[in-house]
Amino acid sequence: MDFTSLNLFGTPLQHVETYVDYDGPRTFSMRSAAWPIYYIFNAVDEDEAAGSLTFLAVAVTESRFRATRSGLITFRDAFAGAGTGAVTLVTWVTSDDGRSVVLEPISEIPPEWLPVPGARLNLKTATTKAFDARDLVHLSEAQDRTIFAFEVESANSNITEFPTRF
Amino acid sequence: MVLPNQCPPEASFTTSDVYYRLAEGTLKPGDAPGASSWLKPCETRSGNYYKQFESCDAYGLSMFASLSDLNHARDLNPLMARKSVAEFRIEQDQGRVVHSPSADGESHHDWWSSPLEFAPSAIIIEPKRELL
Repeated sequence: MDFTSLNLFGTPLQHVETYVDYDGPRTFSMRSAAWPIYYIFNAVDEDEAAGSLTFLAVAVTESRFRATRSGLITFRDAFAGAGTGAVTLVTWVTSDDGRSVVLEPISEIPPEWLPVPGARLNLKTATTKAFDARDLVHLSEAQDRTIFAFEVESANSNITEFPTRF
Repeated sequence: MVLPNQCPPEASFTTSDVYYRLAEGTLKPGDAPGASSWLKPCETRSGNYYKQFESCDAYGLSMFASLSDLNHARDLNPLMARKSVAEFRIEQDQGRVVHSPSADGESHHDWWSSPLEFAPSAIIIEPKRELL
């Protein structure tokens, strides 16, 4: 099953990470190679006799993706609370002749296709770009001025003076 | 069926432990899972690896060492929630496993049974989830 070239906005897609693997990826995310758009895929239905496996794919912004990944938004709300046109039904059908895929927009998600209320991903998720001292060197050279960084130890947020390190 | 070369992977190991795997949604606690619960991914028409006989992953069965991890996966994934949970034990001479955690499933493992058609004794410990 090649999810990278599905006919979704922002294709081609790149795999980001798999949250649930069960005899293959069942819950995972991908992002557009060209746009700041993420897709969260969740397997919701299968029919072994028909050879079909159906996923919901919800398109989310980077900030909503981070909020879902960190658990700020429940996994159910990532799908149930998606905007109009953001959720697509992706159905793969496998036969002895090969595999095909059908994409359909879906506006009302059947309750049995939604995650358990309250269930969340709980993954450490950066909220800002990690500090890199080399960025300061580049900035300093470009602007021809001294730039320094300082680190605040804020273990106790009730105090108004923090130890700093230059 | 014959495993491809270098399968199971070099990083695999033998184990003697209890694991958890999904089974048919019609089963109740105390039942024994049927043969369909032990189909290899290459034998599962609706799966990712159907007839991919050259892929080592197509012969490995997913299982969780932690029931809590499997239930978290069922919380997230409605297809898995509609299946029951089987508990089983595998011994050192019943194949090799690889620890293959996913981003939110630390105890996920893949198991290449030996012999390949081997199915362990197992018992259903949790029924399928009812709709919430």
